Amino acid sequence: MSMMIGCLLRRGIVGIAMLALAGRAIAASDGLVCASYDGAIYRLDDAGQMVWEYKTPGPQCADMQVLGNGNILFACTTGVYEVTPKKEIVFRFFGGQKPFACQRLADGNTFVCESASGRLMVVSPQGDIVREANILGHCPKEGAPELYLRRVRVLENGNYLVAHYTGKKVCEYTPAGDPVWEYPVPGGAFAAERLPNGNTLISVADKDQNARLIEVSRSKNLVWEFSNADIQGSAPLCFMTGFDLLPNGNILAVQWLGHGHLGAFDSIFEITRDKHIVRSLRVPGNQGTLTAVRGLAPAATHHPLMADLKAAKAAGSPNWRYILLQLEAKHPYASDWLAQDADPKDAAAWLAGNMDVLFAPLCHKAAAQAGTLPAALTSRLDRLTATPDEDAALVLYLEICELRRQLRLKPLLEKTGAIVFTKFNDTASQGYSVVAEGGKSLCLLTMNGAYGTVSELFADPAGKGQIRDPEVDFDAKHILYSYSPSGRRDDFSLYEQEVATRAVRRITTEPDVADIQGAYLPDGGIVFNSSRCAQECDCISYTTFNLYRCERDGSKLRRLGYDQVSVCYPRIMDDGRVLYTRWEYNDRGQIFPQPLFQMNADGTSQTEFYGNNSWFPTSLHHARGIPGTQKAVAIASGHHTPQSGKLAIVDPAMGRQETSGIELLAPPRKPAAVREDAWGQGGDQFQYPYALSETLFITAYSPEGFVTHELPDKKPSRSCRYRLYLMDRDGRRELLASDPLISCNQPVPLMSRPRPAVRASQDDQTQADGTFFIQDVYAGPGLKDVPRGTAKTLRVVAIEYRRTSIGCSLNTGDTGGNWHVRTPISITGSWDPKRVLGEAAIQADGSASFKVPANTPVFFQVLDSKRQCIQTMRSWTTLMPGETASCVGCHEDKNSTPIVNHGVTMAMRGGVQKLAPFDGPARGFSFAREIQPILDRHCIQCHDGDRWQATENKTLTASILAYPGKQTWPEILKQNADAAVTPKVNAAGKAFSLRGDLVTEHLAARKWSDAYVGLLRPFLFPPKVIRRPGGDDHNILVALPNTWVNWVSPQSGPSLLEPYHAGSCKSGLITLLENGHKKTRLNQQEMDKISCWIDLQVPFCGDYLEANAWTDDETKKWQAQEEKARRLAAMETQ
Amino acid sequence: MKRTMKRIACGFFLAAVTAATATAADCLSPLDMALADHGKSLWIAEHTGKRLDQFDPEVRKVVRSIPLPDRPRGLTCSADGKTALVVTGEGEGTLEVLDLESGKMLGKIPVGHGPTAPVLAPDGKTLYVCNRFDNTVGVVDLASNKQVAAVAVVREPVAATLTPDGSRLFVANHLPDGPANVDYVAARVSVIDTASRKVVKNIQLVNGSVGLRGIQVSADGKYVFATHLMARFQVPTTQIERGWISTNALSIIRVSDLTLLYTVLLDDLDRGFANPWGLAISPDSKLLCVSSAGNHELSLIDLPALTAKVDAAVQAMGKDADAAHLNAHNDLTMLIGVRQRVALHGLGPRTVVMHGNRIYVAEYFSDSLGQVTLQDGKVQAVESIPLGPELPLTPERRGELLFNDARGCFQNWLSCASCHPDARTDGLNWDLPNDGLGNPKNVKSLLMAHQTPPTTWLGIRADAEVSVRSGFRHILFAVPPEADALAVDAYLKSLTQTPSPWLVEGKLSMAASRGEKTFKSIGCADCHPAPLYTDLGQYNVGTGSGPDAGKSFDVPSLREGWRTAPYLHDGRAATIRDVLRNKGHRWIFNKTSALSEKQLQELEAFLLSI
Repeated sequence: MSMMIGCLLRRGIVGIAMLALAGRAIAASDGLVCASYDGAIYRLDDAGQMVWEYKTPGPQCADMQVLGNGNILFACTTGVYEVTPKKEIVFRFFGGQKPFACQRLADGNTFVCESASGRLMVVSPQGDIVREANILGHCPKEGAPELYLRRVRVLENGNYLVAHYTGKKVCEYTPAGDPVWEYPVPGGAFAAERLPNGNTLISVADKDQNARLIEVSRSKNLVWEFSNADIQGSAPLCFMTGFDLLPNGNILAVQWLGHGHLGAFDSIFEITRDKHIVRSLRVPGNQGTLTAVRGLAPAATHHPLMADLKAAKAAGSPNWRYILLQLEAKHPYASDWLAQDADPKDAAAWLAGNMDVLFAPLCHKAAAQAGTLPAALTSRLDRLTATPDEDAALVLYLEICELRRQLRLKPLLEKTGAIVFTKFNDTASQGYSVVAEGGKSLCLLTMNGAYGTVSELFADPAGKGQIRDPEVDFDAKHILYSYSPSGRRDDFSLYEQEVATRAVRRITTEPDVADIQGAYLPDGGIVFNSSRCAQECDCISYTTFNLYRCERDGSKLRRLGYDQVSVCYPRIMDDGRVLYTRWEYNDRGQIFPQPLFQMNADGTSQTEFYGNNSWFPTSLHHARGIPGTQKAVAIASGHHTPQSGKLAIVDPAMGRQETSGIELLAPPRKPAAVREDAWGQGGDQFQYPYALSETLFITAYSPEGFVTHELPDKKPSRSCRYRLYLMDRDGRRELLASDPLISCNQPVPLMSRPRPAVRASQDDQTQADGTFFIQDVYAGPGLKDVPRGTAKTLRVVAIEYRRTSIGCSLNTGDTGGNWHVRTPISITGSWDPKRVLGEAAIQADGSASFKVPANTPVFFQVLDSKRQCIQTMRSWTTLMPGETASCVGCHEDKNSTPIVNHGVTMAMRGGVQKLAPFDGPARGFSFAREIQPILDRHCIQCHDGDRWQATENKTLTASILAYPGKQTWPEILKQNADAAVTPKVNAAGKAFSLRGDLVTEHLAARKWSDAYVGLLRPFLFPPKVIRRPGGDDHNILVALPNTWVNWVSPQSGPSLLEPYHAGSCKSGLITLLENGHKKTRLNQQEMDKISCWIDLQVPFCGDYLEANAWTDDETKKWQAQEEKARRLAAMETQ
Repeated sequence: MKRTMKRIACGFFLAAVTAATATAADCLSPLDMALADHGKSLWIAEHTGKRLDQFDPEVRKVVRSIPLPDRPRGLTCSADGKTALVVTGEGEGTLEVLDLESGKMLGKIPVGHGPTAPVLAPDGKTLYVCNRFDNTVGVVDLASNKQVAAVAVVREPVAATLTPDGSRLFVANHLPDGPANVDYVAARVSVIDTASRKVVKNIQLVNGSVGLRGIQVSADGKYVFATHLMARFQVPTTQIERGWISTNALSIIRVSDLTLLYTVLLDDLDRGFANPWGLAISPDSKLLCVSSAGNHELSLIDLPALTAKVDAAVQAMGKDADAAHLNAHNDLTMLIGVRQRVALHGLGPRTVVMHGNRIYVAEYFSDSLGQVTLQDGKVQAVESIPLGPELPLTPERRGELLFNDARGCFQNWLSCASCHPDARTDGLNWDLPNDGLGNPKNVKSLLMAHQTPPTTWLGIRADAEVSVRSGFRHILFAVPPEADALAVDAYLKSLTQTPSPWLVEGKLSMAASRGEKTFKSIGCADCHPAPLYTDLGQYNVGTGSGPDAGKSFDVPSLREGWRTAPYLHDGRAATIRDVLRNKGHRWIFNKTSALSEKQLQELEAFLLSI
């Protein structure tokens, strides 16, 4: 590859000269390589100067290919060879007869064709014939046998595309040698290539004296032709042989001038699609006997860079980073090298006029990372003085960077030379709703040596659509992606493109739903994220997304996840597990727990992968397994932020909470465990990493991170533009692709990888239930220090999710995230309605085993003998039909096995329980239905006074708004308790009302009863948060746990709560009633219900419709969503 | 073509083995190894190949083969490297004494049943051999060429290691004894005082420890290491993640006080190290190497680092220090940072031998020698050197490989052989969901499973074919190709019965013959008729309880019953005698309650001889 450097230095001038000459664009390139039937291979620069020449071991070099590693594969009479730029032969195969075509295949094997024998062979790197076909029977027996076949290509579908010379046709054969397509070529076909659009480009020899290039469609229509008739006044085309498609769309073609024309014409042409020759060359010293040609990819367009740098400097640009961004469009690679290598202080000094500081040190810095340098470069490096000629130093620096780039790219290129990506600005934040700007095209980066060209695999024809989330199948034959022709966020379907043919197939078809983030499963199905669940997020009107799966044809679609808020970006680990982000805040604050979860391909074993009880990382996004490990690479990010942040390795083996299993990369560092909402948004930014190994990644990356632009309308806009990079764990990087207008994002290498073994599905759709088995509830920190025998029953509670957002309340608490709750069902209590499904007995040894309905998100509460909650789960789990899920204990370390010292569990010996009903069938816990009758029976006789009147409490409000500031949360709770004193008996001698009379809170769109507000004692929180039809309230009702009713805050922190943290066990009301309040005695069932209400976080509504104060439009909106959910659920098929 | 050339390049020269159609017998199946001549020779016992191969590490090839009269089961060499001591025989065993220079047999010494793991005393005069199915350790006096004593150990001794001073022999009992329907079931390590030839302690391993295969004392004589499985039989087999069914472990015993120090899991969090087998320790006691017969890999464990980690864990526990030891076997991350997993290129690793910077491993199923070269503690090269010609696998052999292979299992936790060692039983009760939860059943031997449908204790599966496929699906959580299931069928059908150690010269003893008459006369044969010793029926014999109360159980075959303890569907009977005296099984008790002690003894002798 050293010749590339010499070529580079000349290219700029020559390119401009040619441009002027032709008046049309020629390919910016590193020149070309061509093969001669005389037995030689030449490399010419763009000016036609010979820069490298190689005599092949035998004559009649009939085919040639420049490989990604810079070597050249060719066929001559003595075999097929691979030769290095240093002319060392590193591969040879000779099958007995002279080969006429050769091709290195994607799997590393080599295709070889013999004309006379008709053998088409695929040969392993060791020289073994892997497969073989013979098409001699299809060769018309005319002329010498060695003239039967010329160029043959193995297509991506495995078929052979054969140019029959004497047979005067081009045929496509199956791998077995059966013809499937044929096109007659009366002039004699020399070469044929299948184009990305499915057409076939054919070079025609001289049998009909009309040498030309023709493009033929699959249906055999001639769609393009270039012959002497297209060239006014001359007839240089005699016998067309090889050709190559250039990145600019032009065709580079060569010809053989035998049969009487040797030396008469040029033999190399660059031809535009509108039929102009923009370049015409001949090989010095060659009479024109060329058979094959390859254009070399454009190298870094970074020369002349110094002039631009100096111009910027002269213009007085004070900001080095700004200068580099300005230079990026013209010098993408070089500006990135400078961005990563130059110390900003040195750069500033250079800009300030200090000549000595920048380029010479850069040379040494780059040299230290570039491996062994050629002697010439070392010598130049050694000659650099402290005050060098900075032009020379910059040139040297760039040359070293070229070498360094080759060294760094080598491990990537050994795996693949192609990367699929999207041009896609992912601005989706914690809501995970489909929020994107851009997403204009599905692209393919094709590396040719150290640099690549980008082509579009798919773009919306109308230009308004959105394309996102590419994923490559295990065998690399298909690309899955999501596409929205309308560009609407609720209108994405899954599509699949066949790599070989570019044929596109739509997989899901449902309108008005977004099916995104599809990934291929080992069993041949697809897992994807979808808005089909027809839910909205608890805190704002975001559409939520849950995981689904379907077969490759879109059939057997069914829901896997039943999750409260959204999940995001399911990807498949080496062992077939699905790794994804799950956002949850059941009974806790919404900001911090956005952990990684895992499930099997059939939806079973939905469990934590990392960080469900962690403050840090605030969020983990875009996680993918790292090949050969049980670790994942992910983006550590914030909550109220875009899905961008820092590159991290997640290793659950090192621990599953906080920073224990997290290492940040680029550079490697252990993060501090901080509690920060918008974590990780400063400085450089990452998205969508793909691990090639534990140390090497392809990633979307923005070195400068978020920048604020001034839009034409003078409004500032903060955005982050990503480019694609190859990056190691230290952060050493090479730019792969960029676009000055839009992020290049979501890179996935187009390479096959082992398909994980299929895990036998435990899902049994004939079942309605699943089974839980718990070895010992006392194991793990959930019941730490709780004496054995204390835990008596497990309450099993299902969570109900909201269809849409109507009304608004506010949740506040000790995580400090004061935030809306939409479609509220409580006052600063439970986010969601709770359905008590029943209870399971905990055996004396702590074990339990019981059935629960499948496809239902459930959580558990451990109750003691007083039926008060010892510990509550504040998360949920969902079983697939027929699944049995086991756990060791309550929140036990997921890195532990079942405990062997426990002995055989009593639950195992006793069999599986059915849940014991909670005073009747499973139902949503409604204050009005469960508690009010008790109050009516025992309380309202005295508690028939005034309704609790919420008032503003400016001190408390200020404390909450300042939190976490001067006060601790317990201090704020005390402030609340002090304020919420028991209301006085009214003039009629009646205590505060515990009646069921309903009064509407307009903003919440709910009617709360006297009793409910009387027990919670809310105050008016002043900020006006949101409008509702009919006007906006200036206040929101907010209640904090108080001494009488002390529930687990809906804003409780993610860390595991200690047993008996709050709830009925800490509520004065329970003690009061136990002791007998004014001779009032409640029976156990009544006490149970009151405890249950407090332990479920004081819900008022048992479902979303209860006690609503919605407008007709709001009700219709809800009903429409209900109907949509029902319709979509009914579409799920077995 | 290329393969042949490679073989020639490797210098393979055994032209005598040219079988075109390979059977298991044609395979070599390297099993045990011993170094001689200060590491210049590696002697390899080829189990099915019935020969002893001399491998020259210098030229990396087998330079000599000595045919053996029977399948070798264990091998050691004399200190001077001149003599090989090989134990052979599937039933009554023989110690073959071979002169390695001439290849001549110097002597044949009768030892016990199913002999394995010969260990030579430091003085070179005494040899210990594990008589697996006699449940004894034989003491052979090499001067008189006689087994002069047989020390009773617990159950199926399969490996032994001698302290450097020769005073203590630590013996790995493959399986636990006792009933299975209890809370604590674990195999034990027997410690024999060689001077008195008495067991001084049977060290109980952690609950669930079964399937011991390797045992090795460190060069300094301070610690003994043993490899085994750790069955999580306490919980139902509802999932396999997180070691839910079976884990794989290394136990460390302190020699000074014969105490189990701790047991550490060889598995990773999401990837098992299935069926640990051989182990070797470097002379400086710094590196310990374990083979995984199921995953075809080695674990290289940094012993000082492991010790430091354990010590740190103990320190961290403070006053609860013992708990650290107890919990290490529940911690799937204990070896993080102190262990390196090395994937082998060959299949079915068994014995491991370390010499200098080389680790050799017998690769049973690929007929090859694994060779791992280390440099500065890091793996430099992993090679698999063929010991014989590459033979196409017969369905039976391929089935045997698959049966032992954990690669098909989700996350590689276990293989069929994990619970069915040698296709028999691990002696444990497992609660499989196939018949509902809450009713653990004892593992059945798979001998003749295909001839005795239906399968499982409740006859849940129609036949063994169904069971094989269900096993893949519900225990390995795998979806294998049908061809794999067919191969496992073929292997299981090819199993042959091991002659009972209770037979006398291959025949029933006098007492057993009388017992056979009783067996028939009191009606045992009604349900257990020869030759299968089952009528393939199912009967409610009164043993069911819990979810199984009142249910009928499949009549088990009594063949090879001498090695399938414990007995009855829930393993409640530790011995045949316990079965005969079990009041729960009313059909048996009705028949045997009136028998005299002598008759019972005779009946028991017969049942143990079938």
